[in-house]
Amino acid sequence: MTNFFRITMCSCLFAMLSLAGPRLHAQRKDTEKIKASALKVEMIQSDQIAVPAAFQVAVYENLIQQLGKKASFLHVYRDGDRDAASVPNLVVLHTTVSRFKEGSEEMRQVTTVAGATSITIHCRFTSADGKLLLEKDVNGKVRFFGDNRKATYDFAKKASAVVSDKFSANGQS
Amino acid sequence: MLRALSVIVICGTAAMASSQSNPPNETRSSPATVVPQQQTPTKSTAIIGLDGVKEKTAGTLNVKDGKLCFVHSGNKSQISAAAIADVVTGEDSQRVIRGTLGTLSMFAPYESGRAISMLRSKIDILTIQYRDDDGGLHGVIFTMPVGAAEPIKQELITQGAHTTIQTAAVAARGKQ
Repeated sequence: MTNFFRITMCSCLFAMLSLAGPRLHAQRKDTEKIKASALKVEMIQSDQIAVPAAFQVAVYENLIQQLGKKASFLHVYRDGDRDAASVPNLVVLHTTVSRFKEGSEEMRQVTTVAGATSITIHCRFTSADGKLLLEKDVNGKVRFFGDNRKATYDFAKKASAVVSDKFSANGQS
Repeated sequence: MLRALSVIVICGTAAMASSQSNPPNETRSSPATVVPQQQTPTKSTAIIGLDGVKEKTAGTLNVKDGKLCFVHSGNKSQISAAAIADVVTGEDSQRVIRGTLGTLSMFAPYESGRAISMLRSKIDILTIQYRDDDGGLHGVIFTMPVGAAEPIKQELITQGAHTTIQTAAVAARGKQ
């Protein structure tokens, strides 16, 4: 009976630590966040790697949509928006395709294991005057279900999670 | 019994695929004969990016009075042709059986769901980039029946839209 209680206590303690650990780690990281009031998303560049126009547009639009949901503390401006010029503490997001492998939806559905689409995009966050704040490669992929453009949705979700993790609104720590 | 059922399902979907992938009234115009003409509304789907329109909304698309109009369930979205910075066409394919039925077909007996997913119809993609009143860049993707995107692109260019990719007619002339 005593052994049973010991095992139960140890299991509960282990579960609590494994749940609380990442949260405590995240709280400690909050102090290192970059302060910003708005984010301007530039159109994706793919000079060296050929990416279909529909893919580029899907990346751009999905990114703006996901940033609106996950990083709602920032005002999101589109590429070329004149209103962004007067915003203090503006962060500009430059995206460049660094790797792209177009798979096949048909292949995925028929074989399950082949035909994955993946896109790796180099994200550079700079201040309005061009000073580099953060850079990171973010990957988007579709392995099983959905059309090829779902990889852009996956990328957008991950990229907006990065923004949510690394940036905070002005006045917050 | 199950085998017979799956054979019937596959044969039925094959017949549907052949009828959808080769629409009898649509002819794909050759690059040299693309001529801008009066647009009739084309059935299309707005995939992403159109303001106030949900993703993958079905409607009709046409070019009228210098504007690209997308009409869906009584609502109308317009983009001025002059504001279009880039219009590009492309090709893709999609499953003949989509949606809930398409998902359920994956559980069909004897892996016939995989065979069903091989039944695909070709579609055209029309990708548009335009700037709003504040100069902000927007991107919109439409899908439509095969052969319908190029005439819309030509019509938009005629009415003031810009493109970064040579038109089919110009490309054909360049080859000669």
